[in-house]
Amino acid sequence: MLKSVTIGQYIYRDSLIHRLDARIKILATLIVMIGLFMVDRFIGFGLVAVFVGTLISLAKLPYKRVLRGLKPIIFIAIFTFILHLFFTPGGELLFKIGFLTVYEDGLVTGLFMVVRILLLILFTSLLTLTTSPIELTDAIEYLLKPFQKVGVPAHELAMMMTIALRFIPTLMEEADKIMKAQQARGADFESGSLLRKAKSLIPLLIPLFISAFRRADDLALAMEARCYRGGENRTRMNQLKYRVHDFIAFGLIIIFTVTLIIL
Amino acid sequence: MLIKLENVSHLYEDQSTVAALKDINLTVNQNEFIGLVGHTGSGKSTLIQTLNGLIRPTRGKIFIENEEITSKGFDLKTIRRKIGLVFQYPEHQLFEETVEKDIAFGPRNLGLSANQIIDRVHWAMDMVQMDYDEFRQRSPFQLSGGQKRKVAIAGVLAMRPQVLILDEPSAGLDPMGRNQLLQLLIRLNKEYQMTIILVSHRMEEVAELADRLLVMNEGYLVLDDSPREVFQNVNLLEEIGLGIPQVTRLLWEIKKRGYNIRTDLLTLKEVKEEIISFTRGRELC
Ligand SMILES: Nc1ncnc2c1ncn2[C@@H]1O[C@H](COP(=O)(O)OP(=O)(O)OP(=O)(O)O)[C@@H](O)[C@H]1O
Ligand SMILES: [Mg+2]
Repeated sequence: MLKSVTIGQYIYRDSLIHRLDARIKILATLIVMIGLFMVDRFIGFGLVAVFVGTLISLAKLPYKRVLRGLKPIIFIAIFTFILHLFFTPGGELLFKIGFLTVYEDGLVTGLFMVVRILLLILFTSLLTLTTSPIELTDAIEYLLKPFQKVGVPAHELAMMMTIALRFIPTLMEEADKIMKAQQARGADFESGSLLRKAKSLIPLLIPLFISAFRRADDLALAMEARCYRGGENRTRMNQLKYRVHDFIAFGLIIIFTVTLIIL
Repeated sequence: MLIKLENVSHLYEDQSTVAALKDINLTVNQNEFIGLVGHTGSGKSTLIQTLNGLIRPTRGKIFIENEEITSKGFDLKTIRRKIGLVFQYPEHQLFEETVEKDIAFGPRNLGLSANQIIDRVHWAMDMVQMDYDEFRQRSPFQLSGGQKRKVAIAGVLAMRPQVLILDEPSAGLDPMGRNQLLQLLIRLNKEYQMTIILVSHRMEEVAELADRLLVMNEGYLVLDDSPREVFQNVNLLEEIGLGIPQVTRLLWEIKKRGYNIRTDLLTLKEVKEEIISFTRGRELC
């Protein structure tokens, strides 16, 4: 059951989008996000939707899988819609049930917000769908480098992220094992009230933490034994280099976003 | 008959092409001492987890005391009190503040009374040769590796299962710790009539203890017989990466050189006697 949890839903394909430099993809995502917040008409959203659709097919991703990524936020989207629907006065009165009133502006703003949220999530998910976690952390390290002067530990942050990503599957496996061992001793993780359920997690969490600390200790020792010293003068196996198509892609994104805002 | 498996197959993931278990048929009887051997990845751990419902096999049926535990809606908790499972490196599952509380975790889950629980804990600690008064208030995390292992095994024993399954329980123990553990298993089997299933890849160990040996290879159950018979299949065993006890191997080597000697002996004592009687009255050099 723990197996079904996947972190970072990277789907490997050989496509133009996958080959783009991860730094460009992160920056592009940020820029389009800003653009999305500045859009004030539905036509802008239409444009973004077409753009996202094009990117998905360029990246050779299955539409279904991408859309399924929206599932977890459906609830938030509906909640936002209802909130705006009932609490934005203005425009024509559409209908009234008891103390609940719905105005035209409410309906429009509600829809507007929902579309914005969905597009936002869809677009950012393209980043994690087409970029492997390792590339992503590497890119973040590069992008944070300029801030090192003001005390941002870029290399350390990226290293921490890499290690965390590396150990998630290991910990999942470990959790699965401990859970089974406790179940064999009659532990019950499924039934009972919420409080009981929370309590029943203790026999799982304590051994899990202990093993996580043990692993962290071992890893730290192993890294020290190999003279790991953090970021200073460290070379890397995969050098990130901008290529022509990265600049073209970046240019296109800028043009797209500017159009979006002007529209 | 205590446990019965009918055509049990298991795939870990729906899409995966290799099955961890392939069409296993098996019956286990009351009070047997069974050794389960196989190369790494052959499916031993998977098999024993299906036996107490921790893994629901993809196909096939499992019966425990004539009840089908693989049927829909079966309450698996009733099985867990009948079948105790000690995992590989069981010391990683300890979590309580004191040894006593940790061992009591299983019995408490069974819903026993406070007095019964104390009795069970005391008994289990006696069985693994840990002094009750000395250790019961200690934190399990401050014990040595071998002591932790004992506490973990006691934790399962305290549930008083009819069947005790152990996955590589002697891995990483010193010779004395290993010996103590094996003596314990013999005692549980003889004195308390527990059915024991011991997973191991030390051939000497299972050859000496078990009255029946199961050999697994790539998810199949390839041999199921008394150790004596199983170790007659030298070629098959070597093909699937398992050895035979060293003393038995010695007999085979002698036989290969053209001498007519028995090869179905497993323990050092038996083999010694065979070789002495074989050499008696013979001009060897
Ligand atoms: N949680 C899991 N998810 C997916 N595949 C698994 C899982 N556990 C085991 N397997 C696979 O199932 C097969 C059998 O594994 P199993 O753990 O039963 O082997 P084993 O005989 O116990 O080996 P060992 O002697 O190394 O403990 C292996 O091919 C393994 O890769
Ligand atoms: Mg195993």
